[in-house]
Amino acid sequence: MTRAEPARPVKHSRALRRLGTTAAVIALLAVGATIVGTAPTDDEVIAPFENVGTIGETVEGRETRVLVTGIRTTTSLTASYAFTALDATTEGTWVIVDTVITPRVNSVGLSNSELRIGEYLFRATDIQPSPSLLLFPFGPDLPVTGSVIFEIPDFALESADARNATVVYQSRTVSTLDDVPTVRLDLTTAESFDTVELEAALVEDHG
Amino acid sequence: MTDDLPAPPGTTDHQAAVRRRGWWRTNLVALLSLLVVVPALVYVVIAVPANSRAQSETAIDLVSYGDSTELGGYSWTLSASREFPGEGLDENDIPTGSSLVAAIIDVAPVEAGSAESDSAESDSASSELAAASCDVTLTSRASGDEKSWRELTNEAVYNYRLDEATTSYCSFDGEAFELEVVFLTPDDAYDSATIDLSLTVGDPTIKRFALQPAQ
Repeated sequence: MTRAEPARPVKHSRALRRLGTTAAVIALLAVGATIVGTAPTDDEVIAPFENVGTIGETVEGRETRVLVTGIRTTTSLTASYAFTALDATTEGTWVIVDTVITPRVNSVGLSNSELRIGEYLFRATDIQPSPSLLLFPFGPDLPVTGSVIFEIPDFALESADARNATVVYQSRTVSTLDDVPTVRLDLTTAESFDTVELEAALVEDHG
Repeated sequence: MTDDLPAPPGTTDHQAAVRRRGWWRTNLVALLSLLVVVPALVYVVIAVPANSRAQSETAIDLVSYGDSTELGGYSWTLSASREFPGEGLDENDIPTGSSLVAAIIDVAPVEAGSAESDSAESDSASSELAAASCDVTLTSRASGDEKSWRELTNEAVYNYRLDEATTSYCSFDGEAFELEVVFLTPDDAYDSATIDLSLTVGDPTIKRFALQPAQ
């Protein structure tokens, strides 16, 4: 009797320890899984910082200051090219984002600007007459008035996501860890035109 | 005298001396390795990148207004520059808040054997330049930060006409030419502005020309 009695609490203690160890391991695994599951992806880690604003609000990035003054849609674009004396008309569904851009350090062409509607992403078109906001020779501290234009499918314009579209103004395909101006747009409020004639970007009177 | 003598064997001082000699003997190789490795590490981590950076930095030569400088076998002289303040698109086609800045740079091949030319080297540079051009930017420090503007290609929009005797691009065919460059800048840029000029081929040196003082 005296030999058997002390054995019970030892067994009980071992069982508790095993249970505790198992619980601790499971808890650690759960914490690890949560961390892995919620950690940003490699792409997200190096993604640009998007400074978000709305129409009528000046939004700053490292390279530029951006002010969206209006949005228009049309099914027909006309452009005149001064150097070739060529007029061109093209049909489609176009979103025209009227913008004033002020470079901050050097001349910037925003040729990799994007329009995001839901999961779809559209690049800016380069059919504009020169100089344009995509490729312009103006330098820092000169506000340039022009448009950034996107051709999109009809369903994108008619989708619910069109109410919460964004335009990202960027000069490079990958703006890794750079801060870029981003403007939220409700495309359903855009003024619709039968045809829009594109004009070259210019520096207007200021100051 | 007693200090110079080794401690007698068996004494505490003798044992300590033996321990000290033993430590040096044990760590001699490691210490010698450190003597080699640490300077090598410093060289690789600090000196090599610093040297590489120094070599990749482009030299900038300052050129006073009216002075000539030599680049690519040619002599370069900024002979005139001027600011045209914007009075408004309805007035002089130049937006208010900005200025048109124009400059003329006289470019002439350096005569072989002249004081500025280094004969064979100069000839070689000249032939290399045949298909080259030049990059010209206007740089200003008016706001404290250095900012630069590219040469306009549509100066006619701002009612500016190039002189018939000048050209807006570099062409190295062995003949002298006058390079006329035009920039649109903010209205406070001119007083602290310079024109940076470099060749697209060969010598990477940037020639930084001071502008004609405002009148």
